[in-house]
Amino acid sequence: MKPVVLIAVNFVREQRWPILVMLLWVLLLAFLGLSTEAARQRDDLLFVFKQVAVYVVAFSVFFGSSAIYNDRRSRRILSVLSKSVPRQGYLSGLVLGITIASAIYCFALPDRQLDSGAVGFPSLAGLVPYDLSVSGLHAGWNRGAAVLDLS
Amino acid sequence: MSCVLEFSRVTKEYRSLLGRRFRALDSFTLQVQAGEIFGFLGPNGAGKTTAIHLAMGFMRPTGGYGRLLGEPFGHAATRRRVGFLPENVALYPRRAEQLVRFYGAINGMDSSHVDKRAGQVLEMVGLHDDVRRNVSRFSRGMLQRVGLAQALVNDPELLILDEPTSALDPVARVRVRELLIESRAAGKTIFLSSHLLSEIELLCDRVAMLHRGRLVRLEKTSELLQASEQIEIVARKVAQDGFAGATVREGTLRIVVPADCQRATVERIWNAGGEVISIIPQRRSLEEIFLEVIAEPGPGSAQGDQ
Repeated sequence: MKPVVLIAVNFVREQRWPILVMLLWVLLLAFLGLSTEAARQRDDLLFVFKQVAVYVVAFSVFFGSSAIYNDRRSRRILSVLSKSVPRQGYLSGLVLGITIASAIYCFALPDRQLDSGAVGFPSLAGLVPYDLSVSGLHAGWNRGAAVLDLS
Repeated sequence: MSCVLEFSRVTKEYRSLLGRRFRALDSFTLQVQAGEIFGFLGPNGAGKTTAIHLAMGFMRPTGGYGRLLGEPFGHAATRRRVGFLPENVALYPRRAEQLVRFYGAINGMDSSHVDKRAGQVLEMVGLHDDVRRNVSRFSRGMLQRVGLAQALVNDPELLILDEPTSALDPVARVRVRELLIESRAAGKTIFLSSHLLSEIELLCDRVAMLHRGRLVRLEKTSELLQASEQIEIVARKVAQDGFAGATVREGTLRIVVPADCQRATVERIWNAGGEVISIIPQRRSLEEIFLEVIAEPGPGSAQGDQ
């Protein structure tokens, strides 16, 4: 389990700038929601946040598959897989890393909604990205498993 | 001695999208014994890296089988006892010490041990002054040394090194050579793939040469280098006349003859009243042998599309 966690933390560390940019995007949206009339139009705001939530799917699939691709292309994967880390362990580490990154994003999402005064629907809007991220991670796992053969 | 690395009729074929096949390894059989430094030679594209990647379990053979420390290739837990340095070292951008600790930790080392060991191995490879520097700012030679440090961090029984000194300066190269000799003295086995034939000649107990996916030479280094069929006879008090190709140097006559003419030549020197000082089998350089081997027509089945 320890190698999986270390690979996950390493993944988050590698992707810290994209994660930060996405968090800033959520903050920007919340700021715009607070500073405009949109805060009073609950349905519109919910729609916007659901849209934003969908980004987490793209995030998990894109960063998950590109992480494997980049590690293969740069050959950094060789130094990891030459240790006592099975392929499943490496993939699990990446999936856990994506989960952590997605979780940071998802936790930020309902928080921003609370800040924007739209109390009552964060739980609903918050669940959407979680569900979508799970399906995104599943897609990422399948893609990862398919491309990991180093031959 | 026990066998730590074994290839048994291992074949590896790559297939293109159009279905064309390229055989990188063809019925490759090899055994590496515990405690030796084993040199693995071959021209570019001979299949050396493919063989190493198969041994590390990065890919699966098309045919045949192999064992690494008694377990089939690809057994993850066995890799805990192996240190591997890839040909082109690529590492995550972070501080050298952190990086070596990371590789030690994912290899199952406990944190107190890995903390201590990371400093030690970085010192061993001569990077004690750069442990806090980010490896993304390192030169290629320094990266190679960090790569070697991550390979050594778990104190492996078997070291598999693919071109470990290719980017090193002469001082670092000597240091690495000493390190490998120390490792052998400590009972470790080293599988060394290199194009630096002088390194192989100095270090390796045995040498295997691979050409177009097939093993073409496997011998003890000393025997390989002495396998020349020429003998140099040094004599004195004898005239140069009558000995074709003989040279005079510092008052002695040096005659190089085929090994089967050794006895006859010595008798001729004695009959002429001369005195034989030494008879030395001519050593050839590994480079000469290597060039000779790769100039031979390779096995057709191992090359190209099929």
